[in-house]
Amino acid sequence: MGGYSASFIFGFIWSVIKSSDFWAMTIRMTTPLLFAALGSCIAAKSGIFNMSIDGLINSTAFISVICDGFVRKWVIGGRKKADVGEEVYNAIRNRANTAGWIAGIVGAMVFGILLELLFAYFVIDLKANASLTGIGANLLITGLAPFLSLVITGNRANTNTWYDLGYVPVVNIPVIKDIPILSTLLSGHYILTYICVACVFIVNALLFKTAMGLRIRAVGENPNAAESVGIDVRKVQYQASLLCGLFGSMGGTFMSLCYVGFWVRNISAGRGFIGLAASTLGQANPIATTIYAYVFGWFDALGINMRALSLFPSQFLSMLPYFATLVGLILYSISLQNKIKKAKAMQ
Amino acid sequence: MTNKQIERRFEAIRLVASVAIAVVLCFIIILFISDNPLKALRYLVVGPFTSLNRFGQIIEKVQPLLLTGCAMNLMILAGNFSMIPEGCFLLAPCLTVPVVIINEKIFGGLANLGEFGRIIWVTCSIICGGIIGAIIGSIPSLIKRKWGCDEVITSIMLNAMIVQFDDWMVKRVLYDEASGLSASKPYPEYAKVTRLIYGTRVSTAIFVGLVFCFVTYLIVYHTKLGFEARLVGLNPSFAKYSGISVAKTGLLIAGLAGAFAGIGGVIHTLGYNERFNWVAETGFGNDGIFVGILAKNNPLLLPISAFALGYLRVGAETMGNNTDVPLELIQVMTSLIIMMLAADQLFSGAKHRAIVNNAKRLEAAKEEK
Repeated sequence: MGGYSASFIFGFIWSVIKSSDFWAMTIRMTTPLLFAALGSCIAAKSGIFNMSIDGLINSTAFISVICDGFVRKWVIGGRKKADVGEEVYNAIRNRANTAGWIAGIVGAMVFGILLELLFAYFVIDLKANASLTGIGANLLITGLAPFLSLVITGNRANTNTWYDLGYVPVVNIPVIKDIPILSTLLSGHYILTYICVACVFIVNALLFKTAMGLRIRAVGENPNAAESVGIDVRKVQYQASLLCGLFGSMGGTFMSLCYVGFWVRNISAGRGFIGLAASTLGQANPIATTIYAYVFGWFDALGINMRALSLFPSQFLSMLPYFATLVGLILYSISLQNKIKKAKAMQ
Repeated sequence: MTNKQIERRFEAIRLVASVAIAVVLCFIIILFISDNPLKALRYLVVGPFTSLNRFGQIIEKVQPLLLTGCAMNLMILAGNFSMIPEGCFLLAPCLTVPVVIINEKIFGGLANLGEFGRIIWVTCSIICGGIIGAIIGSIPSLIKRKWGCDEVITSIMLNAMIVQFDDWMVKRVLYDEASGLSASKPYPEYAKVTRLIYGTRVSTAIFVGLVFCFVTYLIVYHTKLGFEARLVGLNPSFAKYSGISVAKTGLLIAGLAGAFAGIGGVIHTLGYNERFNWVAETGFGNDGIFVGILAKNNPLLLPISAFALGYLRVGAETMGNNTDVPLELIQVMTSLIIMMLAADQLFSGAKHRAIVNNAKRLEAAKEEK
């Protein structure tokens, strides 16, 4: 194959896989997938197939950048380095950056919740087909984000001219940062990555340990039965959509402020759908979903690392996460079918 | 007045109201963001008719939209929301059209046949594109039938892979340095669809599209498959218990839709492009959703809805080029319309009241007798 021997190729892949940088990259690249997956987990548990999650990531990525940029400008307030002196200016700048990313997360959450509530209104109250509405919502965002970008920043394809990079802090964990391999693996990630891991347990506790989670699961399992014991199905589904927007929106923030650094058109590149697939595979169980999200993130990272070896065309490596998702979905369905067959045979 | 008439009337009201809400919203946004809203509105509304070139652009957009609209219309009628027509639209021309560029020695003989050679080549590529489209288009439904995966996500994953494949084909396999961009060698003259109006790219592809709209109408309303597809789309459980294989109908419809989209891709690139240069989503497949859902129950209306979208797009481009209002506004508007048309219960309260009132009136009339 292209002048390379098979043993060389496998040796290369092995050298990629055994490096701790690769695993750190896997953790980083899984973050947006995992946020999307957790969001769709909650929606799926309440019985809503949330296709709009990809649009949610695309739009919240943009909203984060806009909120970040405006708050940063507002905090600096037109003060210039020459007027206030370098030290004071740097202090103000740091404060502006911190206020900026927090505003980015909050703004994205607000917008994400609004978008999901709109989606929920169409699906729950207007009884629209969830797939079709989800597709419509995604198309809406593919138009809305460039539209707002052109109106606000004067550039429809990205926000480079208006905004420099995002400054989400990197967290170095005190003890772990001194241990050789663990330091690259677990320490030095963006704060959102740690929030994301915390969110897995938060969502898990929310779904399985609280009354609200119980109601959400009951509604998803059988809306009629839930209604018969006095649960307001509509309200619970709205709550679940709200939570979906809340958690999913942080995926968008991560994409723009941390991963890319700014906003570009179609920034999600299908990550929302991959997250949705992960939640399908994990049967909307947050822990299982997390494992599948890490598997897809692993393929994503592998595809990018393999580019160093110019053996495979980069396009085929870009296909890798989508292909893995497709195969994963098929394998999952086969196992599900076998289970049903077995259950039928038992009867 | 029967209930059916009331339902039909409310269906029409829903359509008109959805479009009206979206249009009004669009106008309000223009009023807010533009420095010169009247100028923007003028470009948006009358812009497309101000020159032959712009009018030609509408027809250029209608050509592929007719076929992807047919595809999506079939999909929506059968309640199968796979997005694969976009993928078929990209992949079919990528695999069929470049054949003529690569094997110029074999196909060069067609040039000597004149118009006849062109007819042979275009017909063959339409057939091959249709077959490839049908194969690709049925994959998500095949997976659904065999293993029960939801076809929406699988089709989106396939589309993402097909975009990368096209990118690879154009940049690595077909790449021609002389083009200056990432594109293939130019199509030979005999391999293109005849252009109809000088100075525009309006070609005979428009007639192919119109023919296929009629074919779609025949399929939907005059074949067994079409009847089954409509029944499945309306109520899958009812269809299942009437003895219709839901999965098989979905598969056949997806295959047909994929074939239509594939033909659309082939005919579009032969009539529109000088070289094959598709390295990203064209968007025509997704626009097909708008065209298909607007003409929902009547494929004969597809040309009108395709023309409407083409008109809006050209109007938006004219507006975007000449004023400060971005052309993406139209994307926002059309997707809002898609969402509202998907919402079955929009105005359901009013419809319910109308049906109740009607029943009461009929009752009263009966008592008077």
